[in-house]
This record gives sequence, structure tokens and C-alpha cells, in this order.
Amino acid sequence: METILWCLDLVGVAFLCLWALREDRRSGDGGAADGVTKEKRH
Amino acid sequence: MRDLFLLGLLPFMLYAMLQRPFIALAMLPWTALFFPNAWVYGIAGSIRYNLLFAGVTLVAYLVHKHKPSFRLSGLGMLVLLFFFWTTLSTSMTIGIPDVAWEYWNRLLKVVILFLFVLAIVEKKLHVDTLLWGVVLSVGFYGNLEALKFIASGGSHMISGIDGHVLGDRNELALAFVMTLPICVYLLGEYGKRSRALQLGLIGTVCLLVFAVIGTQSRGGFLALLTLGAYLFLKSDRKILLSVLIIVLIAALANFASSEWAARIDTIESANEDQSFMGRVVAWKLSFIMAMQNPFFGGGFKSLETFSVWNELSRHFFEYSWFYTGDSLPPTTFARAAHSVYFQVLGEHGFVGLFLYLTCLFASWYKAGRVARNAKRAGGPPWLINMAVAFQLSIFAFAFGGAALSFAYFDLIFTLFGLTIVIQKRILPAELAKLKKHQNDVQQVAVPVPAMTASHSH
Repeated sequence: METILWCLDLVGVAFLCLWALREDRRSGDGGAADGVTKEKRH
Repeated sequence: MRDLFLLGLLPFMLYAMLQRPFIALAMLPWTALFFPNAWVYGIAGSIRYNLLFAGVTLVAYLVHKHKPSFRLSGLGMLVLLFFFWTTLSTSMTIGIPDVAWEYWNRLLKVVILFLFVLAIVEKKLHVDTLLWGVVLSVGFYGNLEALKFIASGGSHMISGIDGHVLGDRNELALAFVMTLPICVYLLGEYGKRSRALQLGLIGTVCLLVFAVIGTQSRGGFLALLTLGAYLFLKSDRKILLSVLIIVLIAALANFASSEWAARIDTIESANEDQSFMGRVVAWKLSFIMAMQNPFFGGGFKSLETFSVWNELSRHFFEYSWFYTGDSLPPTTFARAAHSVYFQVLGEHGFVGLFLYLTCLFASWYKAGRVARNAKRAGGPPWLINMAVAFQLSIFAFAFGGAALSFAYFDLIFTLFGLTIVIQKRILPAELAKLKKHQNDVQQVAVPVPAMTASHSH
């Protein structure tokens, strides 16, 4: 049980990271990668 | 298997962390409180996650184009001044210099985390991600241990992991209590979006309460009761909370062992309890150390240096008004201060304690002021709830920490930083949004009579 919960927590953390990235991108706040993309577009 | 799992997910986490410094920042308290190294036994255990994540946070911050302006504020200055003071006290330590510098180095890492919070966090999503990181670390451990406690019928005693920042069960209990308001805030924000999150967070709140009981920590239990009363006073949902409290008490009654009840009963006769009076003896020796070194104190961990403890014990009877019952300082070993206040007093003198107390009070007060100002100005409910959660969490630390040597806990310094952020950055931004919205509404409303007037001409 301990290992299952531990793995679930890790999945939760990885999901949190990717969810936060998606939400921030949606809100239009440019990160490092976004900045590079915008420069290329120009 | 755990190694492979952790190593398999790590690239995804690192990718997101490198893209956004606030995600990397959220992983700092997670790695500090989750302590991944304690759970793996193979190759994944050789990685220093806190160092790796701190490096990634710094790189992501430097590379990130959009950096908010750095606002230190009065509270930020106080935290830095406190850290500067500890540097002076460490350089003049009466304990073992190597040990004092090691603990200074730990505080340095906590202060760096605090500065990262000020430099990076600027909006709700950033704060929420950080708070989720706390719930997924402390909350996870609380859930796991509480389930063991329930499965054992209340006989499993919950304790921390050796070598972990929350290694002591009393400190662990306080961390559980501090996490409760954060869970309640996240439940209000994300519970409606997803049924799974709602159930997960309600379960975590209930299991954290069980986990506090499972540690058999009297300080943790008192902090839990006080937080419950404070939460009840602050809550707008008093009926729902009353039902939840009754259900929890009924459930806990089945699991609290007679050993636990006997231990809790000793709270009433604290002045006769040897364990508690042993703490009072340590408080008195910390006080004596501060009287002998009023400005800089003795430095980190000086009370636990046996030669210092012995020397202070010679002056034990000097302050007779400081009641210690029949208890005397042990003569074969030294003890920790067992109170964040006496710990800071002994280690950094009266000036250090003044700075520390001011930081605690100012953060608690500022969080309350953010909630009041947001409410008065018609600000978003989430900001009010967030500020109240911080206030409750800081209060729980200030109350529960009175009997623990836990002054430099990562989470309390993170809360100091977050309080500054919501006061200096998020509240003004939300009020400006509100004002802009009101202006827009007025502009839409005003031209109508003007146009009518021009037509009439």
C-alpha cells in the first residue's frame, strides 16, 4: 500500500508541474521558451 | 521499482520546472518536506534533489524573460536582518563552531527559499502551485501514516523519518496542523472543479487530524484544538464545520488508545509531569544563556553542547522566579530548547528573539490585513480565503511551536514570503483589476446620456 500511495503522490507531483505549465501558458505569461518562440516569429 | 518510477517522472518535472521558475520553486518545499531520498534505495537515492531543484530554480529564474520587480517590504527586511543577526551570533558562538555553522547553513537555504518566493511568485497560480507542493509532501506523509494508524486500530505511533526536517514526531504533528488550513483553502478553490480533488482533499483533511492524534504529541493536539477553534471563528460555514468536527470526534474516539488518553490527560497536570517540566528546565537554561549573552546569544545548537549545558546548570538557581518545580537539569546529557521562542532567545539573544517575534507577528497581522482589505474593497473571495489560510497556518506555528525546537522550519519562512507577495503584489493587482472593471462599466454607462444629449441638439 505504501508504494502505491507513494507512486500516486509522485504522479500527482508530475501532473501538478505539467498542469501549472499549461495553465500559465494559457494565461499568456511568456516564459523562457515562449520568449524564444516570439523572437523567432519576429 | 520506486527508483525507476521516480527517475521516469523526473524528466517531466524538470521540463516543466525549466520552463517556469514558479514550478521549480514549488518543488523546493516539496523536496524538503517529502524527502525523496528516504523512499528509494537504488540509483535514485544518490541524487541530491534539493540541490538539483534549487539549481534548476535559479537557472529557470535567470533564463525567464518576465521577471516581477523584487519587493522586499518591511517584513522582508526583518527576515534578512534576523538572518544577519544569526550570522553574527554564529561567528561568536559559545557552542561548537562547526555545528553552529552547519545549522547556519541550513537557515541560509531556508532564507534562499524565502528570497526565491519574493523574486518569483506574482499571481494566484504561482501561490496555488506552491501550496499544492506542500500538500503533496506533508499531506502525503500524513495520509500514509494516518492510514497505518487506522489500520492498526490506533496502536501505530506515527513518527518522522530519521534525518528528515520533520524527523521528530512533535514537529511532524505541528507540520500536519499547519497544512490543514492550506488544504481547506485548496478545497474551496479546486473542490468544485473536480470530484476527485474534492474527495482527495476532504480525505486529506480528515486523515491529517487522525495523523496528529497518531503522533501522540500533546503540543500537536493542543495546536489542533486551538486551530479548530480559530478556524471555527473565522469560518463562514459554521454549521458545516460543526458537523465535520462532531463526525471527526466520533471517529477519533474509536481509534484513540488508552495510552493516548493517558498522555493527553497529563496536559492538565503539566506542572507535575516530568517530561513537560524537563522542557521548562531547558527553557530556563536558554533564558540564563540569553542573560549571559543578551545581544547575540550562544549561537546555533549551543544549549545542546554538553559543556555549555553544564556551565549554565551552575547558575540554575539564580532566577528563582522562573518556576521549574522539583526538576533539575540532567547531569549526563544536554537537551534541546523545546520552544521556538526560548530556542531563538538562547541562540540569538534578546535582539534575535525580538526580530523573530516581529517577523511572526507582522506576517500574521499582514495576512489578516490583506483579508480585511480585500473584503472591504470587494476583492475576490479566493484572496480572502488564501490570506486567512496563511494567518491560520502562522497562528498554528506560533502556538504549537511554543513547546518545540522548530524555529527555522522551511514552511514558516515560505509563509513569510507568501504573505509579502499577497500584500505587495497580488492584492494591489486584484484591486487595480477591480478598479479597471468599475471604470469600464462607468465608461460604457456614461456615453448613453451623452449621445442622447447630442441627438437632442
